[in-house]
Amino acid sequence: MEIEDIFNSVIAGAPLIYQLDKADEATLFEKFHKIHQKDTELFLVLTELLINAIEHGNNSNISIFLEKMEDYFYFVIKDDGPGIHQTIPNNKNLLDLKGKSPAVILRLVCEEGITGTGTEGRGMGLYWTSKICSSRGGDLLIATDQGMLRQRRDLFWQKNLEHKINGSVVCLTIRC
Amino acid sequence: MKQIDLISISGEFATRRDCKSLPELTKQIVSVLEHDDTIVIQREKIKILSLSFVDELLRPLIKKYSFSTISSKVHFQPELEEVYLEHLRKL
Repeated sequence: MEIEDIFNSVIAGAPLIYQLDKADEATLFEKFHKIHQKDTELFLVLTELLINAIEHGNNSNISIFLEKMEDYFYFVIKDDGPGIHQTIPNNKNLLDLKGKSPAVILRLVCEEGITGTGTEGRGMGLYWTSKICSSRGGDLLIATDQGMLRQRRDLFWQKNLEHKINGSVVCLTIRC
Repeated sequence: MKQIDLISISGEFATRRDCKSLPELTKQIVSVLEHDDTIVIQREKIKILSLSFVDELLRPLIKKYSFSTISSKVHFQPELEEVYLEHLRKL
């Protein structure tokens, strides 16, 4: 199953099979350990995405989809807080964002330490997600209301948004 | 050697950087380091110990005391997996 199929289903209104569940740490823990108990690295990466959404989402609704189908692990996290493109200009260390496309900015936030706050040590969620996607042959989609970026293994390219979204959505597929 | 049960400080989910008990935990670690002692942080009952939490706890201590000092004086039980160490080595 293609990651874009899941992304589009989730954004378009989610048929039951791709239903997102409201999420916090307890939900993530229970769901993950039901299907993929021993992969510490992957679990920590997903935890960072959840914490990102909690910390940067301004109390927004956070929902996840987490499933293992055949040999693949699928994860979607969605929040309706301010998206990356709204927060990243607050980082005073990033002076050359003007004129950069939404996809280029999303590519930038996959680098280590690039955040909407500029605070040292932050920005681990998307960095680790991109890294695990690259090192384990995964597939990653990051989208906000302004644009979408896809990463397959260590290749990145821009995608067009087919549906309007609020907040941010991250989809990750990794072979189990 | 001092021992701390992390669950009594953070609850089952040691995840968030704004965890209210982090300063207290830092204080205890600093006290141990100042006395040239070691500390064992029990995390067996913890369901999630996030990279962010470990970063928030150990980043300032590594900056102050060095990675080698922290890794020899501050121990987690069970030990931290490689993914944590990979991050901490870079600080």
